[in-house]
Amino acid sequence: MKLSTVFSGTILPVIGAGVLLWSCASADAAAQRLEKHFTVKGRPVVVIHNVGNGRIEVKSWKNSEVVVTGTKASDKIAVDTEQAGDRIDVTSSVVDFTANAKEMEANFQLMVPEETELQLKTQTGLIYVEQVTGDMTLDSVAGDVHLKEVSGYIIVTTTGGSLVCTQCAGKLEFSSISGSAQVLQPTLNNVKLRTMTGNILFDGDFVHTGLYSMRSGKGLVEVRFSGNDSFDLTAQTATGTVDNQAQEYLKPDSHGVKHMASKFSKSLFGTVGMGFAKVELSSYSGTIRILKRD
Amino acid sequence: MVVILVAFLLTSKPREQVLQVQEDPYASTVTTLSQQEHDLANMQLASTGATSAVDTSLQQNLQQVNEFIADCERRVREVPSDELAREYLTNAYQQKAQLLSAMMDRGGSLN
Repeated sequence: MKLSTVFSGTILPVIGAGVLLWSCASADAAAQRLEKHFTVKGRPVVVIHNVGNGRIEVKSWKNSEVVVTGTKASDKIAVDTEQAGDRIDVTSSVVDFTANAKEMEANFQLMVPEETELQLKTQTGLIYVEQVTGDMTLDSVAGDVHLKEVSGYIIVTTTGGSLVCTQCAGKLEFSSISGSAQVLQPTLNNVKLRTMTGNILFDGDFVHTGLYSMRSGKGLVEVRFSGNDSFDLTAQTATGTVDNQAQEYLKPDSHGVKHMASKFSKSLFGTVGMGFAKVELSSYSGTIRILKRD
Repeated sequence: MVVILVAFLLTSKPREQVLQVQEDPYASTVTTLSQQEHDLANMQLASTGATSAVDTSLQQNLQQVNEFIADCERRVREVPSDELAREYLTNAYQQKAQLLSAMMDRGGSLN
């Protein structure tokens, strides 16, 4: 295990079994920097739990090494790192509860092997992940989550943060109260998007045999499909509206399934192409919009 | 704990049976959540910590959840057979339970 720590220009010795407390020589100094290197053998699992505020950025490279660099705003939070085999934990914790929001800021940048599993949790900062393959669980209260060219089983949970998922593949689950979700140019075969007041935009192709479920309580649910797509569609709203801008592509269900529309809701059922994928859209009081993109 | 209790209350009894026995099948859930919200308010009153951006966001989201629940409850009262509204209401209660639980945890660890 290669383990070197550069902290404020000083090389610190490894303490114990790889557990190292990120401390500093001068209290209340300006932003303090951390850099740690972890050699891994297989597919690593990286866990970051940031109780403070701040950004987490993860990018991949060809090396079998995880590099964690970061900054923390003050001595009122501490950062611990630990390696156990191919599992790497990075945890920030509050050591002085008088800390204000600014003093609790900790930002992390990671370089990881292309195949890496991630569990990232932060409060208000952005989570950004690019070109990583592996299952990932991403949690944020108010911070947004931006994913680019990632694949795997992706679970994103926020309270108010929004998701932008560009060229994602695999399986995606998003759950939020007021956060919105944008899924752009995906190759996802299983999608489950849930938000209470946010909006949902799905702009991309539906994989054959894929399952897509998108629900917003009050927000807009918009799906833009291509002329080559093939899916069965169900759209339902209790008090909202269904805006069907794809009437010429949407045919009656070709599979003989008789849909029973509730008399208390507005519903739209139909098939595009052969109906290979299944798309379920729902909103309590928002608008559901279906259109073919140019 | 709150999340488990609310999930249990929402799923423990068959709906048909509940509808026959009590007028409001969500009554016990509403009571539990109201109690938790009351406890949370007391906890925040006792706290001396400054309100952070995270706390503000959680409070704003709780308000949005409450408004959405009120909207769904009104719809379910007016149109009891609206299954879609009922489904959204059930999910909203579960989300409120999760949110309150997160806020209680945060209150306990940070304030």
